[in-house]
Amino acid sequence: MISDKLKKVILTTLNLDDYNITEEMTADQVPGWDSLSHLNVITAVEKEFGIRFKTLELLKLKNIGELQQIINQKLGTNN
Amino acid sequence: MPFNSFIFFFFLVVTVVIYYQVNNKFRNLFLLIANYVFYSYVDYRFTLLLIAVTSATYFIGEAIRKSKSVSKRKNLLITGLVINLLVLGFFKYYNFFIESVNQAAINLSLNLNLSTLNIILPLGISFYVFQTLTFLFDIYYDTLEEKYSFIEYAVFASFFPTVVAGPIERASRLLPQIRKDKKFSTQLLREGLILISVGLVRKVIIADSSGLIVNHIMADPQYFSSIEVLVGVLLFTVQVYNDFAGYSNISRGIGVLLGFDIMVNFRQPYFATSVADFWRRWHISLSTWLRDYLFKPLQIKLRNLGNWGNALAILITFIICGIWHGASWNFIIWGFLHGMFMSFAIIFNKQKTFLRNIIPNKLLLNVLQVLTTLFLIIIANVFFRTIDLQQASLVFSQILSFSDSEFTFRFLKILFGYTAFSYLIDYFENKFNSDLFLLKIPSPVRYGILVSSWFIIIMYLISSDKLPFLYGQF
Repeated sequence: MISDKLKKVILTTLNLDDYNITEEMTADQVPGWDSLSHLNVITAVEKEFGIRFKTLELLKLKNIGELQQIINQKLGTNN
Repeated sequence: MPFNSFIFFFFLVVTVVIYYQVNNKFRNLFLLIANYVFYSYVDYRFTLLLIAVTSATYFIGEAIRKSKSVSKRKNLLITGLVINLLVLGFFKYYNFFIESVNQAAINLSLNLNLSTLNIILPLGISFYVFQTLTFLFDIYYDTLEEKYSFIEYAVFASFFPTVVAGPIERASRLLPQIRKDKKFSTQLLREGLILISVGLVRKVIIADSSGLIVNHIMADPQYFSSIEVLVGVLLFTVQVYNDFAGYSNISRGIGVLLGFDIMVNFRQPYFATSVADFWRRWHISLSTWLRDYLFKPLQIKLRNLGNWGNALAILITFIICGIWHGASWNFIIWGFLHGMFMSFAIIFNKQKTFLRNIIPNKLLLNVLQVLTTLFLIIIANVFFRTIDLQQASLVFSQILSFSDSEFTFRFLKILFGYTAFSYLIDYFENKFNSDLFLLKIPSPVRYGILVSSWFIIIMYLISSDKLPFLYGQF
């Protein structure tokens, strides 16, 4: 499940009031999330969660659910 | 074997007929033989290079799949990239590199005089190298999980509808289609023939007719008036689009006849409201390739620089996009300009919002955005069409000389005619959200259009005024 925190970071970065974000959704299905704004979303997520993604982790991402999984993994190891 | 020739139509009919007679088990083997026959038509030595490059890539790809070690996978990917890019670099850029070094030496009052080699550019090398590289990337990024046989892979690497000028297909999209059993149907025949017909109309009626005038003007721009040279540049913009979109339509049509869904390569690019939007609609197979395999890794590496990192990644990507098109400073400048246009848009994003606020009428704003985008694309196209920087500056200075001639009106009429025709096809593709829009109109009208189109196409094929596909030279 996509956490409220992740959802909020994505919506704030993309200037969206509200949008139903699900695990299977890919970035290009979210309004305004294109290859250029991708960088802003990723850096905002890193800042908000205090984590750092590896290049390969980001390039392998298939959908938003996988982004959530990596965040969870990183937070799990951090804790 | 160019798509706009009788010999190709003969090859296509024979191939499709035999293809569906052959048992599913041997169909891919037959398709592979057909691919090599098609590709060997110009020079069989090119086929040997194609087989060598694609075999090396297959075995490296399989080694990546088998390896569990992250660093080994990365090293194998780099090896595959280096081999492919060295081959491409040697055949396409060696002489350009040597000439540039010699020129730089002359500028520094040195006399190096390194000798160039007599190299013939193998057909479609930029396209098939990029296509085979997707095999490595897709395995490396885990988007191609299933294992494919060498025959299946070789069909992918030499697939005759795409090998010469794309669309640059992805291994993860095409290989599963190659594996699937195929069954002939009249629907496939109908859809394939419609796509081929629309493609030929774009190529024959719009691109080549415009191209003959463009060639005439661009050969000696100094003998033409401002408006005529400007018409030449604008007509080239119409020509290059219809030539390549036509080619891609034909490629998709052949794919459909063989039971494949080849990706859409163009989506009404001249309706784009920004240069970034243009690249989401123009040569989509190349722009998405560059986005996924070059821009994204660069963007992630440069993310500490924020928007400047984005802008720098775009600039590097588009300079490489320019180099991919050809070994000349003109293509490099063309790519650089596109990169600069988009980098500016990223850095001055806030000013964009300001513009949106002062022009509240959405339609007016849209029209202004489309026209500005077209203007930028047309300026860059001068470098794309001319052979060197001298000719490019001659074209610009001729346009800015504001001279007039008695034939101006005739040139403008021609420009208007071809542009309107091109936009008409785009309008219908956009309205029905499909390049199969002819299927959606009443059949008497459809058959009327098809019969008259084929009458013109056949007359053209008999004539000697055929121009080669522009992207065939890349």
